[in-house]
Amino acid sequence: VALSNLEGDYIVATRSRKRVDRRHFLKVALSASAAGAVFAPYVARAQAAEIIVATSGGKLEEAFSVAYYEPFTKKTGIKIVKATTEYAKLKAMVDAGAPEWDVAQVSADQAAVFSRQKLLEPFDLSLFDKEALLPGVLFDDYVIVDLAAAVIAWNTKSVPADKAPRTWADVWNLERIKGDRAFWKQASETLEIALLADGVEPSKLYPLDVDRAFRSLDKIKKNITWWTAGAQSVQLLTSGETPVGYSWNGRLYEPRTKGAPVDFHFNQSLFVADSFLMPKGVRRKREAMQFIAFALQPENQANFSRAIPYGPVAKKALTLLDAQTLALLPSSEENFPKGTLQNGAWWAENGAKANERFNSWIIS
Amino acid sequence: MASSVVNRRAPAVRAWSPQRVYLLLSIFPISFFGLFLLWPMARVIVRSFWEPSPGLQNFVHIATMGPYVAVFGATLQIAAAVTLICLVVAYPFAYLASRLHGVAFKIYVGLVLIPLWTSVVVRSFAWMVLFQRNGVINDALMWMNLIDQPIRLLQTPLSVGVGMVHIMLPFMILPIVTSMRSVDPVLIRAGAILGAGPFRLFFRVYLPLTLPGVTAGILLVFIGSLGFYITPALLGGARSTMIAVLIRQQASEMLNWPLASALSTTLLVVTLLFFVAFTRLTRRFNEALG
Repeated sequence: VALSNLEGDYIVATRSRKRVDRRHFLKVALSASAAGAVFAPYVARAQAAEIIVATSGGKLEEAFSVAYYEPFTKKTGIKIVKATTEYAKLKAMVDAGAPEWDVAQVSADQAAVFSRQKLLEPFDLSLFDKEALLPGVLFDDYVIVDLAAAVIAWNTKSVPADKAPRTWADVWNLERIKGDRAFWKQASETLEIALLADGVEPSKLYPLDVDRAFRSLDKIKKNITWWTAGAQSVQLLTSGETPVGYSWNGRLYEPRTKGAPVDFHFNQSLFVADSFLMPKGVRRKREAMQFIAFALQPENQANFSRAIPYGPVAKKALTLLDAQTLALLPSSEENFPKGTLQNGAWWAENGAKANERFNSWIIS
Repeated sequence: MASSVVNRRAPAVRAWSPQRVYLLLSIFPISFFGLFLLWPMARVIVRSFWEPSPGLQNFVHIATMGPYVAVFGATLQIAAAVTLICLVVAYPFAYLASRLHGVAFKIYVGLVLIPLWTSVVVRSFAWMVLFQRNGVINDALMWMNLIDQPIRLLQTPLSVGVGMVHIMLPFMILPIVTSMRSVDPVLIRAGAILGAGPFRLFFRVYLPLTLPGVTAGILLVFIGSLGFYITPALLGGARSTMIAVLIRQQASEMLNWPLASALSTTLLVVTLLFFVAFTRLTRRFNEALG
């Protein structure tokens, strides 16, 4: 249940850094709706000349472009028109019966919400080889295409090496590390780490014991600095405002490489994911399906992970990558067993209540 | 066709009467607001009563469950505080400006306007950098030996207050300056000649004459602050959740549009109530000052 760009470039906690280019978006939206309205009914049989793929933009979209869009166009001749994902808009266009996007990239937990509200077009599952993918990534109407990790992160200047946190329990230990913890101001992901800190086995994480999670959070409530935008978490951790906290590997990777005093590891991380899906009633389903299947090809997945440190979900993709790249990826053979995949279905089912409770808890 | 034949005989003056021109000119704005403001707003209001089933359930939920009442309270409180601070800062500042002329006045207007052209997100992040533990403010306080170690400034009411006041201040200053510049200095002199002291001159002459600007400023700042979103999110702590944050969450993440609509409707009603109460109050105040 992440973010959106409801407010244009008011970036709200996005795992994938995003930049919204309004002019481009408008251009795309106009050409798309014009082309769609005029040609859609007549070209149902022939191959569409283009499909519209909505993403959260920024570096993620750049990586998609290099790894998926360009090779796909080269292979099939189908052009990819870029658009910007907006969750409320997806619902609105499905409700109106005229989805403008053919494919949308949506965080996996949000995809589960859409799926539960029956806003998604069912997949043609015969196009996918389930065995070739990591377990738990392929669903009836969406598929996880890459994995990011919510990780334990700390400022290396404020926290001496011997005190560096190894587990969430260390993060909860106010004696071990003094000062504030930087956490994301929302229930999803925060409840999970609260339970991990309290000693819950990763395999028994779901269904979440919400009461226990809040009891665990209560212990450090006064020592939490809440962030709402991903960029803010990096700011808090690199500046030392908070010596320790929670952020995403994709966010921290760059500052760490550039020498900012921040470090993280994949131990006890929570894997969160991006997914591809089609809005219900999608106009160019055949081409959209073709595109999604193409994105899951091992060599394309490997190219994606070379462009951005998010893990592939095609098992074979890992064998194509060198050790240096693999060390940065959540889904590498070494890192994947260290973490837990977030259960989007649980959040789709219980998110409304859990969030309401979280919002009440935080102001009390 | 028939009517154009008749019209050709009509005098040109009548065809282009001012009323007709105004009517023609107003078609665009009226249909624009109707289509893109009133119609969606009507839909939001209807949805809040009609979905998932007709009745008041969404409003009962808001009143009895979750954090909504408390967050509405906090939102009003923050908006009121920001408005008050803006007023106190803006009034003397505007007075100074209203006495300036020529280049000095232009520079001053530029100083007020330039921040307005900068993205709210950028300004909020800038405040984060200033307020953090090893930020400029803490460094300065340490250097002056006022504190021994950095104190927490971020995510306090102070940081939200400063951030929001900074953004809303132009909306208070500009209308007040406008009304101050239209005050005829002769009236002040007349009051003085008639024997009023500075105190009395201010409250009986100057303040009533600038009140329209003050009223406009208060309305702009207070109503604008009610819908604030990004600044409290970035600079505020746990308790500074504003209602706009929850509306966005329901609309865009939970996809619970009926509840989002009901929250928006409630905010709209609260705003209108404030608007009505405030305009009545100022009218009375005006009459009392007479």
